[in-house]
Amino acid sequence: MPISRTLHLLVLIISPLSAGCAFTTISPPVSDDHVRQRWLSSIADGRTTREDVQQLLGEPAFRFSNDRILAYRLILSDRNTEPSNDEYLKEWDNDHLRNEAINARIKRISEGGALLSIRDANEGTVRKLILLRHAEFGLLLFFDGDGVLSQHTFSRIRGG
Amino acid sequence: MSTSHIVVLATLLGFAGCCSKASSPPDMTGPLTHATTFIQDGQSTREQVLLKLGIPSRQFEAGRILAWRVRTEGAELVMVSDYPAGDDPRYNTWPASSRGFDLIVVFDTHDLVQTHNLVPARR
Repeated sequence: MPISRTLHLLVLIISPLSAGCAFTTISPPVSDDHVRQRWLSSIADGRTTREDVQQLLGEPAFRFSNDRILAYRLILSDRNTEPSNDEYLKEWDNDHLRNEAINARIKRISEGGALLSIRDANEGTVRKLILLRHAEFGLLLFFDGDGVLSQHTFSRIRGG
Repeated sequence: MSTSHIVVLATLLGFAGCCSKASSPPDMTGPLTHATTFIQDGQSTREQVLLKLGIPSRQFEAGRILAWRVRTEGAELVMVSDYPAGDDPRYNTWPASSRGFDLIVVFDTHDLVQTHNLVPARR
């Protein structure tokens, strides 16, 4: 077999394999800073009260030390209601098979997604939403004796 | 080298670029124990532990017992979700190697750490 034919054969073999690797690049995930600015910008040490926080985020996942510490488990999603089984499976397939769909979802979340407070009382009703979450965060808030926020931490909880 | 050898070699190289490297799960107990030495029984407060670890994964007995799902990345202690993700939900294949450990901390009535322990995650 002449060398040119060998080269052609190599190109024919490698091209489809490369095509499998070189699909659309996935956009970076929604950043922690964006989440803070978009959904939590009103939370500020020395100013925000316990009532302000509960009005913004609802019931916390945990309350400690006579409500001096509130803890929120927050999931970031492209919707705020539990999907149907069909919607869930369709979205799961899209998110795991097509990078274009992943990018479209990241854009949807970034521009108009929902940050939801998850706790024991509502966990069972939003299971599919939890499985489809884009990100998960922990927000811990420490209040002084007057119920004003003294310090808080906000951190991303990584996938298991 | 024959043409067939070149073709086989090229095919294998092509596949190698698409395949992820398989690795055995590391033993995390040692690094995790080291990473949790900041917790001192009888001395550390609930506030100190929460500030260091962030929101717990679960609570028991009205918050007297807290649990954090943890693993280490290098020397860093990281919190991980105890919600499943990453695998096709139609198959119950959440890999055991990614479950990590649960750091269990028991507090006394003064919000001081009474005792703590690391146990392999079970769910």
